Amino acid sequence: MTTATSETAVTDADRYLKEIAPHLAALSAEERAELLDDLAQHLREIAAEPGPPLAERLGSPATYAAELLASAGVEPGGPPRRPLSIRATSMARRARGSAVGHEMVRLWPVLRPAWWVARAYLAVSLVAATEHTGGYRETPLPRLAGNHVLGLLAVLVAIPVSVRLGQRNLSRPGRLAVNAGNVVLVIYALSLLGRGGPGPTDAKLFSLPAAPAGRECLLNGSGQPITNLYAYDADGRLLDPVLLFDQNGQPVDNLCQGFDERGRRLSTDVRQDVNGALVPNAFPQHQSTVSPVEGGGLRPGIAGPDATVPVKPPAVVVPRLAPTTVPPPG
Amino acid sequence: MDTTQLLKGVLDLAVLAVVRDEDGYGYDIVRRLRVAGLDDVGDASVYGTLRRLYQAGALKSYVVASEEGPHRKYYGATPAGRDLYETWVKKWRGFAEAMDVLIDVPERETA
Repeated sequence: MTTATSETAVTDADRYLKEIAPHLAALSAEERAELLDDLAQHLREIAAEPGPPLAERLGSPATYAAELLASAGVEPGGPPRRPLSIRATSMARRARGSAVGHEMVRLWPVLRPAWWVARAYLAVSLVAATEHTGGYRETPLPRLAGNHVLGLLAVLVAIPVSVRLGQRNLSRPGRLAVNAGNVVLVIYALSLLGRGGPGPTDAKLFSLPAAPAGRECLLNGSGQPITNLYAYDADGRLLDPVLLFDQNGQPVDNLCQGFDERGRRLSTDVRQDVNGALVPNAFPQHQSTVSPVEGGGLRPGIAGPDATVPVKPPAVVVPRLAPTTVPPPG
Repeated sequence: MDTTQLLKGVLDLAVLAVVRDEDGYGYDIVRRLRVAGLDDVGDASVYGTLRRLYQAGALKSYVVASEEGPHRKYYGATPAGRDLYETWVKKWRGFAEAMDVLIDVPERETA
């Protein structure tokens, strides 16, 4: 037995490597270069250990190469054959190679609990969405059975359940189920991002309120759609009807489409003049909630009231006006 | 029976088992496996397995400089590697139990 010096070890390793190289022709040039580079260091390590020359210790280079390719998951002349679990982690590894991926991996231990909380919210939000409650997003809090408090309670219950699931060492079927659920919730979360927020899933119903074709509809100072207008006199009496015109004398007719609290389109009875022509700027517009069939766009099988229910004027406090000091124009 | 065939199926588990508590470099890992009784384990198989497990994220690696010889590339188990190890241990136990039952049946019958 001889103790290899550093120099002879390098020579021995390099000679052996040179003989292995031709047997790795099945690999792509990049893969091969990377493998040879790494292998050179490995062979030098072995050559530096006490023992006979590498060819004696490791066998023929051809056998060594074949064994290496097989165990590394690369068969000569064929694509890599690796177990699914390894391929999946390999993909994850490639993702980790990117800057964002790397940062995600670094932060993952911190992000995991955040994901557990987020998925609890998403799960409740998804249930709320399938319940078909919602409509406009006044709040990101999901509503269960039309109730925000129930939604909040559900989220509060779901969070510890989700965290517990995250912390527990689950059996394989359990883990598969949780992973499948995670995938569903991630897809749901992505769909929310695409749509702008949680809410029912019927795109036709829950798209932004439609203005008359080609024009934008009226929004108030908070950016909320104006779906009806109510005029009051100085004594706080509702005026019905009033005809509204803008500064150019054009009728105000670009109100937004109204929806009820369950997300269904409001039906509007547009007034008519004495000749039967529509007067879209007569306010308040008489609106009512409608049955699913009349509303159109509702998913089949979702029950709603059959009768139409008129929308009541909002409760408003009409301020007492100071006496007018400027004479009216005209 | 050719033990190299048997080894092929369990080398991932064997390699993770020897690095799960203490990191090691390639040759050292081969030596540990042999000391543990896997005499037929080949360097190429172990090295290939190390590369594959590393690429799969089950192992981390780092180079330790040496004044006497070449630098050594150490491998250690990542958390994902430990998870993988636990999974394979369970699979192995189930498999080994099944094999034990299979092997023991004729003996009991002949006893």
